[in-house]
Amino acid sequence: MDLVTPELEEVYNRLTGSETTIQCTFETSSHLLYRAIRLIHRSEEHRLRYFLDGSAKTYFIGTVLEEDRSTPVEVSQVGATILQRQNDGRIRVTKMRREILLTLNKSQLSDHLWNSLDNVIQRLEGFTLRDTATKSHNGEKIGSTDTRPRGAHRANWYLRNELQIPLAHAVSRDHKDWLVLDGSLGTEYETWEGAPLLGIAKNFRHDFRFELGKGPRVQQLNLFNLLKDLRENQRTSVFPRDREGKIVFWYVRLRPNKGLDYPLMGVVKVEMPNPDCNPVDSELVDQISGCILAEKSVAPYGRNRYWHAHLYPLYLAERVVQTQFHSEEVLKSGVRWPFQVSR
Amino acid sequence: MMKNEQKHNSIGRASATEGEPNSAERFRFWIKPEELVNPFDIVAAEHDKDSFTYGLVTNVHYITDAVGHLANFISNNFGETLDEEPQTQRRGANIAEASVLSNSKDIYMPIRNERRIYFAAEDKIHEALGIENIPDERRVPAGLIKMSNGEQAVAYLDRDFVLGPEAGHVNISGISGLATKTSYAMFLIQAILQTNPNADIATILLNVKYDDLLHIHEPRLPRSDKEKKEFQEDEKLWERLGLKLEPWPKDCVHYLLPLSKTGKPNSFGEDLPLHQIYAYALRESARKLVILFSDIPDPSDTLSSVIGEIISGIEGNEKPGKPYKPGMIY
Repeated sequence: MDLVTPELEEVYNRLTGSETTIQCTFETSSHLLYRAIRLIHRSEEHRLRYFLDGSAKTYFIGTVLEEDRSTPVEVSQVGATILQRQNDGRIRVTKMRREILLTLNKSQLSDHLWNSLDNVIQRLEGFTLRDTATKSHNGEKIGSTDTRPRGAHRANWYLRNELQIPLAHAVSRDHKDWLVLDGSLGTEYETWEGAPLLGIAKNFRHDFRFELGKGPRVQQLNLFNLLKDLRENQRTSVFPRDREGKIVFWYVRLRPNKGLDYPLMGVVKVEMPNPDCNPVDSELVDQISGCILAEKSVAPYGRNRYWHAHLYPLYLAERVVQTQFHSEEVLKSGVRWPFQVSR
Repeated sequence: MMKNEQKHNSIGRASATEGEPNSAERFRFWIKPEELVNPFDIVAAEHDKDSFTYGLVTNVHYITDAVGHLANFISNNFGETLDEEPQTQRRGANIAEASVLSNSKDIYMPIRNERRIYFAAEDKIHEALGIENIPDERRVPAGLIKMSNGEQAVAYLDRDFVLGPEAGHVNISGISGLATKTSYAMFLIQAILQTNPNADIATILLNVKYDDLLHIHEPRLPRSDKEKKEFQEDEKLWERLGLKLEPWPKDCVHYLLPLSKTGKPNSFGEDLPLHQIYAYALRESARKLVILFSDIPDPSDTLSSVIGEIISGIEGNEKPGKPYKPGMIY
């Protein structure tokens, strides 16, 4: 049953506004669909030094009734961290943020109640109140009409936009020290001007079509066709995610097909901001891919179902955040609903 | 409360989990990455009411987040990467197990999660082992506890429990054949004699292996630079214990060696010290025969009758019987 429904990461990847049909490659040397890459160990060049990931855990705790209106009340624990890998391969936490998010549908509450709630929340350090009815989150884009999942989508939106992006800016990095984010890059990275970064998606949309070449020699491929011939230690050509190429992407096979259950296993999708919209330097992409290839050791095998495409430092970042979360018991015991017994 | 500078010296924090809870007699703690902790180190754990619980480290485990060995195999590109270091070091931690020795305020509740752990200083080790309750005049140095952080503490025994009246024995255990137990016994006797020079103590040593104990009055003579260096180091250790590294006083040592059939001592070694020879004649030893069977139950005195007969026979007290003659009735 594992692959019956798409993961949320894959669904969000579809919402990045990208074209489903890719008609060109977008790098300086664009003759080859697959390019061999050489593994670059950190002892040779330690380019990927910072790793950013976050996690959001949402709990439905009840429903607010006000006259004939109601809204679900959800509490989310949201956190993000940046880890730095040192030259000897050890990892340490550089920055971390953790918050508790209370989400309700503002339109279902009176202004008086919402403002009162907002006043209370503002006085509590580490707590934030957000409206689930706002259009600026993925729940709206997915078209979720059910009110309860909207709180979780709102929390994920908050995590990506209000925790991860400020964190990515907060760490001062040299331009040769790259930051790696877990998952595909949102449209907000299209204009990224800070130190370089990458998004590595272990779980990505499968509905791409590639129409490469021109005239009668045009080559038509779907994603499965493209990746089935991608060998270990190879990357694909670089493709533009949108018409202008503000974000480019390519695929790298980390692990050989042998021993894996499914052709797409062991492949990561790499996304990179390209604000000047020029074809990217193939040599640079080769080097980045070589550095990513080195990340296959060590693997979080047995700890994550996507271990075959998961970068261990990103897995650690997620673990760091999740171990900082309060347990469900603690969170529930912290919620006290005052009530009056009728006499 | 702990002073700030002391907090910085902590070597880890107590760790109690669902599967491995701390108890009144044992606790576990994770060790700071750069810290070195070995079995037999004595540590102090913060506890309630500003007290410390002292524990003896009995084992150290290294754990990682690898679910099994297969995870490590797969991490190395399905067993094909042997030359290169992993790009990222797998997360792991040293977890030490400690047996509770004592608590400074007699609190034996389990150590709570996250409590700071320190190496115990000498005075704390004395507190942990109950040495602080032994009066100075009754302290017999029994050894030096050396910890992984370089801390040293003299371990003392209570003379009243070694020589009486409270008790009168010491149990030394160890591997056979390395002369460590014998060496330690010799050291301890030296420590007793040196710290109680005016006491009326006599020592009887039974030499059971070659001529090991037939040279205790002779000084140790280093034969090489290495031995000389070792001797100097040992000398410092003895000094740390408040003792002198010196042979037993020549005028106080008396060697008694058993007689052989040739009339010479029945002893190993060519260069025997000044000695006296002793022997037991059968007649004089006859009455000691009963000692041989002292641990055998004999409810109907059968054995003792037989032993009595034998002793009488050996001592010549048996009345001669009538000579046997065929055809006579006895």
